[in-house]
Amino acid sequence: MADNILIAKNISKSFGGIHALKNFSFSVKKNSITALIGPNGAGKTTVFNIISRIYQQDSGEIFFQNKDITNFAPHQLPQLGISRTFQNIVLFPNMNLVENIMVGGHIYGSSSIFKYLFAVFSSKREDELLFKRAMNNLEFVGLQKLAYSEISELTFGQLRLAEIARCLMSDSELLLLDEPAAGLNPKETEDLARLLLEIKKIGKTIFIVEHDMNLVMTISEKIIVLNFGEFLAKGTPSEISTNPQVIASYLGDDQYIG
Amino acid sequence: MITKKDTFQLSFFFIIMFFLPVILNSFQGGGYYIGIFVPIGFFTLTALGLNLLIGFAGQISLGHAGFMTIGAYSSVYICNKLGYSALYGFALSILLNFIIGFLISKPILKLKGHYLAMATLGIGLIIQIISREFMYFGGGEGISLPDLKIFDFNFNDFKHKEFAYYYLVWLLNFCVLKLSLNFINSKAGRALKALHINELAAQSLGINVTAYKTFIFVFSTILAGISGSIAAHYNSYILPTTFDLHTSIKLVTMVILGGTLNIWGTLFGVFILMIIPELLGKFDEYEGIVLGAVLIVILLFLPDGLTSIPKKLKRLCFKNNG
Ligand SMILES: Nc1ncnc2c1ncn2[C@@H]1O[C@H](COP(=O)(O)OP(=O)(O)OP(=O)(O)O)[C@@H](O)[C@H]1O
Ligand SMILES: [Mg+2]
Repeated sequence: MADNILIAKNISKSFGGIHALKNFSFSVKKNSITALIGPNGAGKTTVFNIISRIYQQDSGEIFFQNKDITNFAPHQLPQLGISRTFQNIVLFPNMNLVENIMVGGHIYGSSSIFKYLFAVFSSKREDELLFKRAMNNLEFVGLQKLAYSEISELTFGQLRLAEIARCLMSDSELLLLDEPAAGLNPKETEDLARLLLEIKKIGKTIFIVEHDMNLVMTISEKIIVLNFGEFLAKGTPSEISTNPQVIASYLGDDQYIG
Repeated sequence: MITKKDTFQLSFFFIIMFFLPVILNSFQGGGYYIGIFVPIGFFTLTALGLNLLIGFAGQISLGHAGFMTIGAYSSVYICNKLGYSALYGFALSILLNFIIGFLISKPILKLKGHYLAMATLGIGLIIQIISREFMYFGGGEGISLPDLKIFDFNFNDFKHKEFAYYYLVWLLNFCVLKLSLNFINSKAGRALKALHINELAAQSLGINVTAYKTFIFVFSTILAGISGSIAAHYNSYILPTTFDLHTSIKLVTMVILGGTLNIWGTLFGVFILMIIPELLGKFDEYEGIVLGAVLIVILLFLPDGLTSIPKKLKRLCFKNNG
């Protein structure tokens, strides 16, 4: 379908004896919020790692904007239009917050490393622009006051927001968010929901892995359920919340209903 | 972007280093003190590259003395064996270290942590063994070099040889400092810092990790090569053991002592480790012990090096007040 920005066909991946993914197919509609849910160890992060080319699938194909991305290297994806956050937050403590955000805009500017040694062009102007965009994105997620803070000074919730701000820097079409609400309090989660809807409004597509069912049910148009590496169900929030199979294997376990 | 502070520090550095020999020379035996700043200068040249590699990119090397040796023997080959101008010696030194650095960076930079340390240590040893077994270059006896002559200017003939070398090596250091500041204050510097912490995350943010690691490794081997060439000319002689494992460890200690996220720290690190032996007189036998002790104390109590002291003090005062 033309309005699917991401299509995966029969993805399989195993680690040693563990079949993390078995013939998993799914699609993500352009400018939607699509959620991928499933119990711990279901293979959700593995799906993200395969999309972002950190892992190579054993078999199956992935198309982004109708382009087979199997032969791309991980560092080429932001250029292509795919950006991500990490389940176990990865920010760089050797830089302050705004510099961390600027790293997300790495694809802008010259791709010749050599030039940055000799500064044969105005890397200063380039950096000023990047800085301005980083500040805008910090403002967007509500962290502009902390721009010059060290990473160690931020709260958990702020770290999650920082990752989202950094993810926005490459201006990618598709954002892969791996459990952005994990560790957030109810108020922070509510703010996050608003932020994600805001991001959708500016035209982005969000593919989100999340355990917080409240959040998932409120913001997503489509939910895909993964169970032990296999496709279990897909549908709208109301379809999923009433699907007996899903309730039995996942939603019935009330620790996830939050 | 290069900040005003950097420009100020760089200008300050230039003025100090420019007038230092003049000041030192007004003292009794000033030539001797200027002479101390020549080895400090060429070690700084290697250490600056190493700081980018270790401090910024987080890749250890225990083999950089080997690249200094390659530089030194390149100059021997051109100046002693072929009788060409020293400039060609420098050119060969740069070319060889570029090629060798590039070729070994491919397999070696896939390694991490202590595996990378062992591999680079091995490379340093291999270079040393080759230079010892190569009878063409005098084997273990070493080999002499003619004077360093650039066009018609003979560095060794100059009234005070130290003056000439001093300005050569510190002018180079000034240039390398400028280049390093350009680099670390751009997106390239942030890329190095990012891949230092997490290579996979850096990649997902669009950073070509392999390209950056290779680039900075080769840059550091080239600097080590130039440094080795100058050192060999200055000493008029090179032995396979002039730059050995001990030198490699000393270089790493200098970088860590100075502070790994600060270019200027390297200057302090090199200065302190070079000046201690001078102050304590000859203590060749104990130098290893002192070096080891310094390294342990720094790693235990000041892991971010000397340049982190002001920040630490600030934090301490802040804590006491609050
Ligand atoms: N690099 C790896 N090496 C070995 N096994 C792995 C690797 N990555 C993932 N796995 C395994 O694959 C399975 C799926 O893991 P994955 O991290 O994708 O689960 P998840 O759905 O993201 O779980 P969670 O909700 O806990 O984050 C698990 O059994 C995990 O142990
Ligand atoms: Mg996961």
